[in-house]
Amino acid sequence: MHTLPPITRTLQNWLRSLARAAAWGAGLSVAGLALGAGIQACSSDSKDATSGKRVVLHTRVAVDDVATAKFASAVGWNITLTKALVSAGPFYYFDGAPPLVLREEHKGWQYAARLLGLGLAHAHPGHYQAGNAMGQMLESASIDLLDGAFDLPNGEGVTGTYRSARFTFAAPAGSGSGSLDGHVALTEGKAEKDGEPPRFFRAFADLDAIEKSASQAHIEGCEFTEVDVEDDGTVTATVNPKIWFDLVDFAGADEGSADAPAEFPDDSQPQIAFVLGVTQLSAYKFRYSSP
Amino acid sequence: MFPRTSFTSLLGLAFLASLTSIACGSSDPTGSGGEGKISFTTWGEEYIQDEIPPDSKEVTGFVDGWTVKYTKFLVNFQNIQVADAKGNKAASMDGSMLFNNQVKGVKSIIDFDGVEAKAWDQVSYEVAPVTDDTQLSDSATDEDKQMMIDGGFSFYVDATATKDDVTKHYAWGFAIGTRYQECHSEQEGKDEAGVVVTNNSDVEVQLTTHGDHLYYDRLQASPDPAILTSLRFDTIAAADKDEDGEITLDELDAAPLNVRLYDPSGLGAATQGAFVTSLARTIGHFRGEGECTISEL
Amino acid sequence: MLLATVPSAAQNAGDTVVAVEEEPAKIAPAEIPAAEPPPTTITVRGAPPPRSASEAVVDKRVLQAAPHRNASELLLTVPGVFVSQHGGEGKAHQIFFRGFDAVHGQDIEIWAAGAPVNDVSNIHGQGYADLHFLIPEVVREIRSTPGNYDPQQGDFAVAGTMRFELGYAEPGVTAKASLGSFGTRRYLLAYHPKDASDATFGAVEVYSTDGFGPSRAARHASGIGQTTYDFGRGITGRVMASAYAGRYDSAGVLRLDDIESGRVDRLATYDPKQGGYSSRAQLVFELKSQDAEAQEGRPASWSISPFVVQRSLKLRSDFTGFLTSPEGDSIQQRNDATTIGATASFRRELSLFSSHDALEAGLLLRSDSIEQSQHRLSLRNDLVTDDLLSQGIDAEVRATDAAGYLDASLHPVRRVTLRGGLRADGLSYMTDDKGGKAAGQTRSALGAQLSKRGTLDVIVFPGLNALASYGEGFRSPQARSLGDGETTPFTRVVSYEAGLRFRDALRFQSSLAVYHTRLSDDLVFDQATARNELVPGTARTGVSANIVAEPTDWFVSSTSFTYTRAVFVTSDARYEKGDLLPYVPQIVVRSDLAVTPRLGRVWGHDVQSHFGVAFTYLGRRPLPYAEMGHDAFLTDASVSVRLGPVETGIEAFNLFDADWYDGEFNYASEFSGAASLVPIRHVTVGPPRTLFWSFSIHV
Repeated sequence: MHTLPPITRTLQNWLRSLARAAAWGAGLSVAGLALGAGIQACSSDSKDATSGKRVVLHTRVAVDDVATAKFASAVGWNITLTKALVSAGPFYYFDGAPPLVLREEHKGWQYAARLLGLGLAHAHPGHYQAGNAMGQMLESASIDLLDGAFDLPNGEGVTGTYRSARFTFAAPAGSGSGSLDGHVALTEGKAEKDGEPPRFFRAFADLDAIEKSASQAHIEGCEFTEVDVEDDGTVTATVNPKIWFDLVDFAGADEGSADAPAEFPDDSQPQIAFVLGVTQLSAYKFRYSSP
Repeated sequence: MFPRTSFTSLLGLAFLASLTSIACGSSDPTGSGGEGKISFTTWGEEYIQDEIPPDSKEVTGFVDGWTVKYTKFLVNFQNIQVADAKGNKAASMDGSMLFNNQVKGVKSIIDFDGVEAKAWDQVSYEVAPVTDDTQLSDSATDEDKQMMIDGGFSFYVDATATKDDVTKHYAWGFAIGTRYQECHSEQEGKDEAGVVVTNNSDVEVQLTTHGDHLYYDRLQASPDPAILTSLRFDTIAAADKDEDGEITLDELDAAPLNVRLYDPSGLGAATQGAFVTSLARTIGHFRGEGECTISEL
Repeated sequence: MLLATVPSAAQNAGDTVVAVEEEPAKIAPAEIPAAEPPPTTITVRGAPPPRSASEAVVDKRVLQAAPHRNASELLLTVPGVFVSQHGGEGKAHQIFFRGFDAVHGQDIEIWAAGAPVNDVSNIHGQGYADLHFLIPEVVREIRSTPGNYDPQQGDFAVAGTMRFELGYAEPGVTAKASLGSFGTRRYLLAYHPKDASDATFGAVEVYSTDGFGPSRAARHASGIGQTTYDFGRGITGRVMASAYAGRYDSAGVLRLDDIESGRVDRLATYDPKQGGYSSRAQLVFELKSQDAEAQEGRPASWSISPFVVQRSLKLRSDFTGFLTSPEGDSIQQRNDATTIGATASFRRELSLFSSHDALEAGLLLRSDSIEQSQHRLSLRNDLVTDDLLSQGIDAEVRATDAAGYLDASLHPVRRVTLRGGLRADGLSYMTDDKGGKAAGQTRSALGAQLSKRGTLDVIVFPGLNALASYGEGFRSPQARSLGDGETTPFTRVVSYEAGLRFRDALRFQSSLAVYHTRLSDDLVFDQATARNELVPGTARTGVSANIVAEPTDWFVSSTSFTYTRAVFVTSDARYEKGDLLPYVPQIVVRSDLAVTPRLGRVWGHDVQSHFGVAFTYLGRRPLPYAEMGHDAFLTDASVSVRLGPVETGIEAFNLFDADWYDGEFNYASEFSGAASLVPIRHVTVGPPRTLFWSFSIHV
């Protein structure tokens, strides 16, 4: 039951209570805010934010210098490339260590290394754990590797340690895709070897062939030069087409000619070996640089 | 109010005093959780002890009909470490020990007593080149040790492969150092990292060596579940160019990778020799079928 | 014999029971009547004395000041609490309390009418607490015990404990119908016998709504009944029974950049198959004895309260789109649990330092039988698509909790009281796993924890108390995460608090407290893996101020301000010492105000009115990667008028139609276009302005 007693006495009591409440309220608020500010001040030496921050990563694709001139493949063929196109993207960067640690391979050095008891640094299989995703660039593009560095749309990431990356192939689309003829990697050039006629070749890899070796055409565990990213910067993906040819024995390829390079026959050793080469994670290296 | 000098008050005070003494103890009233023992062992399983047969419905084996029998399977274990997720070390092994897993039976490597009973998530070990300080287990001999020191080997196999009337012998030493860390295995239906030690009991942690990995035709499992990793020997046998019945690592290094049968799975191996050396790193496992993250030493 | 009970709003810091016996009035011999009037006994039952400066009891007047749609919104009146309903009207709210993101209840121990509300090892989240079964009108008070300073607090009390006590005061039958925005309809029927205590009542509620956007429809029905009985000689009994079932759709999360770029509408959903079903039935008995004369004439009391709870939960949610499967990452979770247990306590007065010292011994027993499963379903045909990336779970868990405590209340010198004691908790889990790679193996684990808790209470002057408190607690793990024979690893919690409490009779109360809580390691919830990720130890420091003023019958106001700063105290690969803990809101301010004047008299009946308003402000929500979430400022208001037995009114929620996000998360997902593996912001949209018109009849 809510009854209204005589006005003046109630009003007096009410005003008295209100005054007391207001005084306490004001006092408490000031005390509370002061304490809050005190807590804030005591921790002013530490960052008043959560760990890490987001960064903008400018992205570009370049070709390894080796492939711009005549190079020797691991099976002894000397190759000169006249065309190297790839349809790539998105790229993802992770903090897990890559499964591969490369050292420069030198034939004469192999024997010496074994005598000294030093093992050649070879890849070890499997067990790659990507860890946390640190950065990404989500667009795809058709890229002419021999035409200089290619700028892709900006990617984003967070601060932290970057150690490995995922290089992916995409079905060609957009500008420049016409020259790829529906393939995701396309090369043309000349291969020579002592005692063998030169081969004018046109080597390509398709998405469905790559997907047989690399799930969803994801090349996992590419090396990202270990770095502590703390601010905006540029990520450069370097493609090394030499690796694509490291297993290819051109002895099984047609000779072709400079005007009409020959494609590898279906299911031939060069064709199988080229696709396996395109899926080599050592063909793709990433690094970060501050702008 | 001052305490009343009655028996009940004194009893009350005594009770409070005992409560305080309990209270100042640890948080776990059932004790500190206890201690247990971890016994590290190693075993080669039937593939190394007996033989790797040709592939059949009952047993996985060589798909091209070979049979492999080991006479030696020398592995040098070192630096076994047990730690928890925060990095606190429970135990670690000094030095290294050489084992020949072709000798039958599960062999003891090292025991750690007085380990706190809890989950130790980070267990790691290494297979590293033999040195003068390496201890010998009952299964390995001084000659084995000297041979490994001379070659700088951490892992050595000596075996004979037969198919129909063809016999090939090979003795390969691998001068590689491999570190196996973040080891995990399936225990009681749960993927368990490392080992769980329980109060006053002995838990065995077996560093199992798998002798069939050297003959895999892939460096990583295929993403396509229809494509299986198989055991092959034909190409390795064909690398014996001088037909002397002896397959050397040099002969394997000279043989280009047969891309029709072997898939380097993105990891790069231009020759059969490079392929086998990569596979040599994968022989170390954990508690049977458990796995570890592999890296170079 | 007259037994008058003063409502428990009596706040003078005093002992539990004060018995006052009055002598019959002296009468002159010539007027001695034939029979003497019986003696009058007045028993005052006060609230148990506070364990910390910021302990609060929110009474019925404050609870009814502003409108509330459900019992979780009632929690908003507790100082320091913020709740968000990101999963649809039927999923347990996410509760934030004094620097803790308690997710769905993992860090807050909740009891309702004597039965536990937290689900042990619930597959969606440890301590999942679904309060939808409670009808807001029958909640009489909420007792909030922050921190872990009371030996009676057990499992889940990391941030604190909330106890809901039920009661309904309106005599006779109440029938209420509400119609509101978005096709909402609610019908309530309640009954309370006139001469019985508030604790005797029955209520039934039926509710349905179309939801404020697509995929947000919900319906539920709930019934609660409770009765008390006085057996005489100080022994009272209570029986409470309730049943609830609810079914709801959920719109799930949206990517913030999709909303901000206009690619999707704010109220849209990526996956319309999300939603769930929840049911609960519980039965509680309580037997209490007060004032029994024990040894040496010292008062003693005991109580025993067994309970049975049956819970069922089905949740279907899709947080990551197509990240783990091209057929969709729609996850279905099921959790069925039967809980049997009891609480018991025995208390007697001693004379150690004073004649009013007391010692209480109590125990808590709880056994849960849980069946749970989790599967990923295809969006195309609802078939199970479990694989290595998203393993199925099919487990049976038996969890047992046996705990006991000793609690002493001592008065060593005048004006100083020491309250505190020890608590021992033993928790064990047995898990039978048939999902994923498991093939029916069984694992079991057991662990124990001894906690010391104490409070020092000094009366500065009558009405003003200074309190200092210390308490230890623990956070228990999910049963499935334990290996066989593993000594159950608990996160250790240590809390400190100091502050002042002021009481001015019944009219005005206020408190100011500073608190500090340390955890040996902490958890940050990872939506993509649906798992808590272990992070380094943390420290939370904060200040809480609370003022409740009830100066007259027709005015009540309650205002609270809480500021907490949660930081890491050690570093690991991802977090630096001193960095803020993500997801924990820093500032929570709440103010409830109600004015209930009598407007006049019409046709022989009083015209009563009720004007209520509540303001809620949530500020500074740190998110990962040095970002801050969106602040929220919400206003709820209600107006009602009652003439005799008829009452009508309007309630408004989010009166100014603020655009706000009630849930903000950071994780990787793939909804359209390429997968974003770097964690990005996902949000759930808070409800817009919602209006209800209600009409009630009281007979």
